[in-house]
Order: sequence, then structure tokens, then C-alpha cells
Amino acid sequence: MSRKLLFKKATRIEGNANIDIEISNERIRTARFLIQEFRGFERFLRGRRVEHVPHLISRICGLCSCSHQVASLRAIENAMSLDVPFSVEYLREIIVLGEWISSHSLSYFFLSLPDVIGAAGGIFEFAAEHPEVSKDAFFLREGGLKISELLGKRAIHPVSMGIGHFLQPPTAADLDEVRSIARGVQTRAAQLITTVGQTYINPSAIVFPKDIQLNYLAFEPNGKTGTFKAFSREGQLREAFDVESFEDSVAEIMTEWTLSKTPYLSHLGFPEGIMMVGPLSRSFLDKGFLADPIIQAFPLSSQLKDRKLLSLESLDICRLLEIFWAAKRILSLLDQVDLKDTGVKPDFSINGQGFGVLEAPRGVLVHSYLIRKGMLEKLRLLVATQFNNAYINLLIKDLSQRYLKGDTISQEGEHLIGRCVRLLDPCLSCATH
Amino acid sequence: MSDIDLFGSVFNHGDVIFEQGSSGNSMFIVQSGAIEISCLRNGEKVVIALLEQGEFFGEMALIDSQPRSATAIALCRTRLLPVHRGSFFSRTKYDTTVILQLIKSLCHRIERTNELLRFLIMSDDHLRSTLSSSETLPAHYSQEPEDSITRTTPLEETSPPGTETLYPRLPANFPWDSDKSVVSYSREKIIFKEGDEGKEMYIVAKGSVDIYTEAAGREILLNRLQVGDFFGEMALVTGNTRTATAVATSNTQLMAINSTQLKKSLSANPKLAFFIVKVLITRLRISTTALESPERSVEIVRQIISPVFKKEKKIRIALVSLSTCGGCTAAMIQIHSDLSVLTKIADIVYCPMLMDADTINDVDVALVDGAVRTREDEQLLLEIRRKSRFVAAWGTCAAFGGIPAMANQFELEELLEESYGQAIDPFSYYLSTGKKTGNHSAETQANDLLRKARKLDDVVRIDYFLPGCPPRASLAKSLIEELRGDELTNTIKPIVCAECPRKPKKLAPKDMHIFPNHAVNKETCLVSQGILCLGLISKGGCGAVCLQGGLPCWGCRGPMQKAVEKIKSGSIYEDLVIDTVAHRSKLRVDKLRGLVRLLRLKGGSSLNFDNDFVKDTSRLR
Repeated sequence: MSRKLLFKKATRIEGNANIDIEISNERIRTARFLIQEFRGFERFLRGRRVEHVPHLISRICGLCSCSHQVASLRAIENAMSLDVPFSVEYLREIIVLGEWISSHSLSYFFLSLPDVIGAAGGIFEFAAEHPEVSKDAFFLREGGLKISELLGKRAIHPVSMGIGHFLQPPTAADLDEVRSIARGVQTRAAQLITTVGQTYINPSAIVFPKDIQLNYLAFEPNGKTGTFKAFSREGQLREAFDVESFEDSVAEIMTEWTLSKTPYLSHLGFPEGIMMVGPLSRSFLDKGFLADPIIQAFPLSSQLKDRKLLSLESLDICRLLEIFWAAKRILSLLDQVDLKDTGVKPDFSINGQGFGVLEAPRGVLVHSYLIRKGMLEKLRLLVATQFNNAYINLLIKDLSQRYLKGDTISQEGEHLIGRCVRLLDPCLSCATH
Repeated sequence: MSDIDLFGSVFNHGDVIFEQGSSGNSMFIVQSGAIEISCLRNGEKVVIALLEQGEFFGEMALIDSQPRSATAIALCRTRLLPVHRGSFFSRTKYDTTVILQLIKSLCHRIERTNELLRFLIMSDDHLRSTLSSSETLPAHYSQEPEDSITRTTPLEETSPPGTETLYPRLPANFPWDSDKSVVSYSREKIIFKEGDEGKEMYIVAKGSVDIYTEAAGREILLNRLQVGDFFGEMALVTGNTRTATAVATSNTQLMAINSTQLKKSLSANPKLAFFIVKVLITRLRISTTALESPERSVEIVRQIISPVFKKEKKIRIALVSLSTCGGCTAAMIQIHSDLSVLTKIADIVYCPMLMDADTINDVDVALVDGAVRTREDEQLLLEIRRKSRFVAAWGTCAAFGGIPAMANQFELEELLEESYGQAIDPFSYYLSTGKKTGNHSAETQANDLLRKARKLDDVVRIDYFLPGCPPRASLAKSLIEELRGDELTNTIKPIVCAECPRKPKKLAPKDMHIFPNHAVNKETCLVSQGILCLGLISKGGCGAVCLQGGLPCWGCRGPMQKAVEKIKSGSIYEDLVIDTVAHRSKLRVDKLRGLVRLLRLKGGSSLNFDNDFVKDTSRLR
């Protein structure tokens, strides 16, 4: 009997994870995506002052800290039944959309693109060989960061947001600068979508498994609340539930070899209820980026419209389109912001249960809090990469099987496994927190 | 009285101070520059230590008159102050603190050499396979104690070693109580284990003790101790955990000595202190000799990096993440112009987040962010230490424990239960009731996690600390400029207030709050506005960015230098905060006490700055 272990550190992703494949008698025994991170936020934030919680909880992830902070503020405000002015919400949404731009450009240019143009040295290598691409990469990433920074006063772990209000509200000049950056990002993104996108993106060998139904989960906001929607591969709405019934609709399964749990839709069970979240899932929403007429006019978006043609590479197309869409949405939100509407003061005597839900760059983010006497009594978090964990494992399993050559995985297979992980853009510190 | 000079002479890059095997009667203090201590192993150079300003070397030959055990080479323009045998001995006659310092430094060196030895074994396939295939200890190791230990017993100069005569031979003023401090162990009993906290050292009064260390998954016999030998002094002196395991090999009686007793007797009795120094030097020699393997077939995998920072040469940097949010790495690649300035003087050669590099090659500077939470973190950090000339703790989690250390007030099981308690495993899902039946998975997962999250210098020696949440990229640039000897383009202000644009008001606030729950005044100091802010006492270098967003400072860069000195000499961080804020706000101390406690226990500032929060504060940047 022959036995072999392939163990590889997953690179060009955010955080520490390993790909672990065991081959025995020329068969794949196990193929796993091992996440080895854990900090215990759900325990050590219990009993802490609620004003401090958004600033501590953003430390779950340095790449989507704005999303965590805003979700946290919303959960607290929801628990306190605090009526937050729309202008404050719009400004927060702009901060999060700025993060979409910076995060997507990081994922597309810095992490994924080196696979396509063949630069194992990543951004440092292709900055020298493709200076024009790296210029675009930094232009978009810096643009997104700057937008978050102008309003949040810092892009990584923002500092200007409080419960119901801004501690240091932005000025009209800040908004003007955001506007001009967003215009620049929009223009550059449109150019990239028509040129670079066509050159570099090609549907590859990573197809979705046929035996297991995939659910695309996305959150459609509606005013201050919203609806979770799960779509089938063909784009049919399979299930819709509101924020309050989230905990009844989603259950989690876990294994002993990874520190990330795997959520599934409880009505469908496991594995039929496993989900994918993120840009591709958002393309199914009625009011999502793919519904935008300008985006529909880009030839690149035709690759998304025929659902049968969707592949894992479609994620990169979505990211490019979403950079454009986020910039466009920022511009429209800016017009609705009233700076005189500075916010409301929190009332710490109100106790209650609350949810904060939003679409972070990598997908659905749920914070659920129980608040008592100004302290966080209990919290539950569901983070984008957690949802995608099932799918990453499933794809690694199928790919390793397909590219099994004797007692090892072919080089092409190894490449595709790495690519598959990168396209799903996991964030491991988020996944386990 | 001291006949030591004020300044030593200058050596240039590449100058050999002394060679392994040569005789010598001086030790040297590094006044400027840097020295590399190396020895030869199978014809290849193994760097044992890199010494910088304030450190000393060459003391072994000075004390035991043996040939030099290693070669010392100047890495750059280096000024060395020599101390000759005569002046050293005459000084130690009346000043025992010199010997105490020497004992401490020797213990650190033994630790470091043993660590190096352990890694050479781990990276050595041949030796490792010998270890795993045979039940007996490798010849190389079992011989070592027999061949090269000079068996030393207390006051051996005056009386030969003997079993019954131990008590009388101990100095008369040795403060131990024969009834209370004698402990007995039966055969095969473990006295202490590697990693334990060390509160006592022992003298073998009866029986024998084996000292083991763990390498490549096997226990390796380091030393066999008999009556009159002492052990366990390292943890006592350095305050670190036990570096080896001690097992009684027969019915054994030990005299236990605690730290106070030891300090008292050492300062009272220089002869005893000197004896300990001699034994330590012998032990260090054993370890250094073990580095030069007698087996020709053993190859060293490690390549020694060229340890000189030449201006025209780019510095090789590794960006390594342990348990972290990733914000520290993201901060490095935030702005293109910052990054391109950095990459002009440095090459980023390892960064798993941004490039495919499976293996870490030797680097000049490793910026490590995140705390040590998993076993994988621990392994990675040990590997980085081995392969980097300088290791910098990058960010607050790495330097002080930060966010992951907030979990340390809870047991691991509690943390896992909270996070995983609701989820079921596939086994119960498919093959059992479909309901949760226990937390089996959490138990297994606990195997991959350490009981507590640790800051980096709890695990390895850290050369520089660059806290910040996240730290500014300019801090890394400044460190590299410093290491290259370039002029610094940025200066770090001593306190956050010096970088804050807000101005204090003369009018004192009526009350103090833990958080601003309203939009704050843009120009006025937050403390003047009645908001508890630690900017007054915290180290600058952050650009006061939080303050510019209206968020009070929670001291992520740690206390300012003056406060650090006070903490080192016994002050409590919390008291210093209260005093400083009281002074600025004119509020009464008792009014602030509860609020500061609340901030530290239930709020954003949970960092623990007790007096050993950073071992070497001169390395804080």
C-alpha cells in the first residue's frame, strides 16, 4: 500500500491556511482546506462596553475592517432601537463601498492576476515587468482606501464612527474629494473592463461540481432592514428570509481538522444547503450590479448573463464590474448626504437583541448582539469566508481527484487548486475570528 | 576603583578580534558597531551570536584560561573596550553585581546556543533519522557528558568531590534550612519539565539526575548530574521557563534554593558566585563543542547569510503573519509611493499573502505581525528566528499580545465552547441523532492551539518592537534606515500629544467619560472635553490618527519612554495613567480610578504593561 501526503501552504490569500491532500493506493483519501487561526472574539468581547466594541471587533480583519465596524454599529443600534439618520447611514455605506474597491483591487490585481500573467513573485515581480498594470492596481487600491480614509479618518480600522453618529463628521471638502476620487475610479475601472478584463480573463477548467446543488446567498437591503436571498445555479430564487429569522434558517456544521465552521441552509440540510457568498452571488440580485444598464452594456458582463457559462473565473469578472459599480453608487449616495444631519445620541438604558447585516467585499456579513446596560452580553458572528468554506473544500476535493496522477497531483492540478482558493478570495482571520 | 578605560579601540569590518583555539586573557565590551561570534562545524561557519552595543564577549577564556571557544569578527566599524583578567578579578572581589550580571548573561547564552543546537539537529536529516530509528541515544550525544564535562563540585579547589561531605562543603553563610529545603524524589520521577515555570534551583545531595531536552520529537540526554552538582539555575536567573526536563534516576534528595536565597547568598559570597560562573562556562563549552559535530557525514542545511549591511546592498525583508487580522501587512502595501521608497532600499523576499514562496530563505530583517496562538504560529516563529538576522515585532499583537491576548483571561475550552458549541460535526449529523451530543471536535481542535496567546518575545528573542494598530509603514522604513546607518527621514515624537493637532483648554472639564457619545469639538484636546484619552502617556509615532477622527487614544503603541522607566522600577501603569489624566484635567484621582479600571477591563485598552512587558526597552521603536 502506498501512502502520500501533500501539504502546501496556501499563498496569496489573506491569512494562514494549508492545503492537505492524502493519497493512498492511487486514490484521494482526504483533500482539505485547513484553517489554522483562532482568536476567540465571541468569548472575549462579552461583557465589554458597547461603544468600544465596534473598534475592537474591526480587528477581526484588517482588510474588511470597515465592514465589520459598520455591521457592529448597526447591530448595536438595532438592539437599542436607535433611529439613525439616513445621511449617517449613507456615509457609512460609502466607507464600506470604498472598501469594496480597495479589497477587490487587492484580490484581482495582487492575488489573482499573478496566476494569469505568470508571476510567482506577485505584485513585486509584475510591478517591474508590467508597470502599466501595477499602476492601475495601485490607482484603484489607493482610491478605495482614500475614500474610506476621508470619511473614516483611517482606512484600516476607521476611527471616526460612533453609535448613531460620527465622532468627527466629514466636511464638505472631504465629500468633494471623495467625489473626485470616485469619478477617477469609475473612469479607470471602465477602461479596464473593456481592455484588461478581456485580455486576462478566460473561463478555465474549474467547473462547478454537478452532483451538489449550489446556493448563491446574497443580502438585498431595503431601507434599514433587508432580505437574504438564496438563488439556484440557474438564477431561480430558492429561499428568502428576513434578518430576524436568520438564526432559524442557517445552521452550522464543523469538523475537527479545521477551525472554520461551515454554515448551511437548515431547511435544505447538509450538503444540499451549502452556500456561496460574494460578488458572484450578488450578481443574482434584482437590484445588484448586473441590473445596472451601464454595466449590462459592457461586453464583459455578457459572460455572466448566461448562467450556464458561469465558472469560478466569473468571480474575477464580477470583481472588476463591482469596482465600477461601487464607484458609481458612491457618487449617487454623495448627492443624498446632508451634512447637517449629524446623528443621534445613543441611549444606554435600552437593552435588546439586534442584527447588523451588510454585504462586505467578500459577501454576507452578519453580527448578532444581545445588549444589556451598555454592555455586550452575547454575540454571534457569521462572516463571508465561513460561508464559502464548504465550497472551497468541495472544489479542492474534486480538483485533486481529477488531476490525480499515480500517487501525486499533476502540476496543472496543483496550479488549479491554488487558483481555485484565490478566486474564492478567502480571508482566514475572518473565517475563524 | 577601576583601571578600565573609557573608550576602546576601533576595529574595521572583517577584522578578527580573536580566533577559535587561540589563547586570551581579555574580554571585550562592544561600545559601538557589531560583532559576530561564530565557530566551525564540519568546516562550515555557524554563527552563534551577533552582539551589539552594550553587550560583552570573550569572558569564558578570561575566567577558565581555556583556549577561545569561538571566533569573533567585527561586522562593521566597531569600538571594543577590553577588560583584562587582572582588572576583572580585582573588581569582582568587592563588587558581586558584576558576577551576577555575568551569570545572567551566561545563562542567556547557554539558552541561545542550546536553541541553535536543537535546530541544527532538527534540520539535519541524517541525525534525525538516527534519532528516530534507534532506541539508544546517538553516540554523539551520549559521549558528550562523559567526555567533556569537567565534574565540578562546590569549592572543589579545597576539597575533592565526595558524597557525604556535601553539606559541610557549602559556605557557612548559605541561607538554607536543612529541614525545609530538602526535597526527595523517587526513581524515574520528573523534577521539572521543559516549559515549566522555574522558581527554584537544586543541588544534588543524594542520588542522581538526568537532564533531557526535546529535539526532533525525541528526548535527548544533555547531562547526567551527581552529588554536588547543581541545576535549574537558568530559569531562576533569567526568569524564562525551564529549557530542559530533569528526571531523578535513583532515589534522590535535592536541596532547593529559591531566587531570594540565591541572590542573597551570591552577593554575600563571591566565591560561590564565582563557582557558579565556572560551571556555567563549562556548560556553555559543552554546548558550543556539540555545535562542531565530530561526525563528518553530518551536513548543515543552513546557509549563513552575509551579515553585513552594505549601503549598496538591498536589505532582504520577510513579512510574516501569525495570528492576526492582516491589517499590519495591509498597512505596508497601502500606498504605492511608500512601498516604492521602501523597495528601493529593501527586497521583500517572503510574504505568503502576496507571493508564492514556500520556504523562507535567510533574511536580514523579519517583520512578524500577530500573536502566537497556534502551534503552527510557534513553529513558524522559531523558524523565522533561526533564519533572520533581526526579528522585529510588527504591530501591537506581536509586541504586546494585543487583541489575541484579550482571550487570555479565559480557559481555552471556554473560548472554543463559545465559538463552536452550537455547531455539530458530520458524524453526529449523519450517523447519530443529528443533534449535538458533546464537544468532541473542540477537544481535538484544542490540540492545535496553545493554552494562551503569547507575544513574540515570550517565545523567541526579539530585536525590535514596532507596535501600532496598525503600525504606520514609515516605522518599518525608519528601522531599515537605522540598520543601514542612513539618516532617518522620520522622527518619532515621544508622546501622542506631541503629534496631536488638538489643543488643551485651561478650563477644566466637569466630569470624565469613557467615550465621546457625540460629535467632538474639532480643535480641543479630548481630555479638556471630558473624554478619557491615553495620548498623554502613550508613545508617539502614530501621527495621532485616532485623535484626528475623534477617537480617544487607548495606547496601542505602549507607554512613553519615561513611563516605561517608571514601570520598570515598580510603578503600576494604571496609576501612572490616572495621575497623568488627573494632572491635565484637574479632576480628583479617586474620581478617575473607576473609569480607568473600566477602560482597562471592559473597554478598548486591555494591554497589560507590567514591569516585564518588554524585556529590552531600548529596542522599542
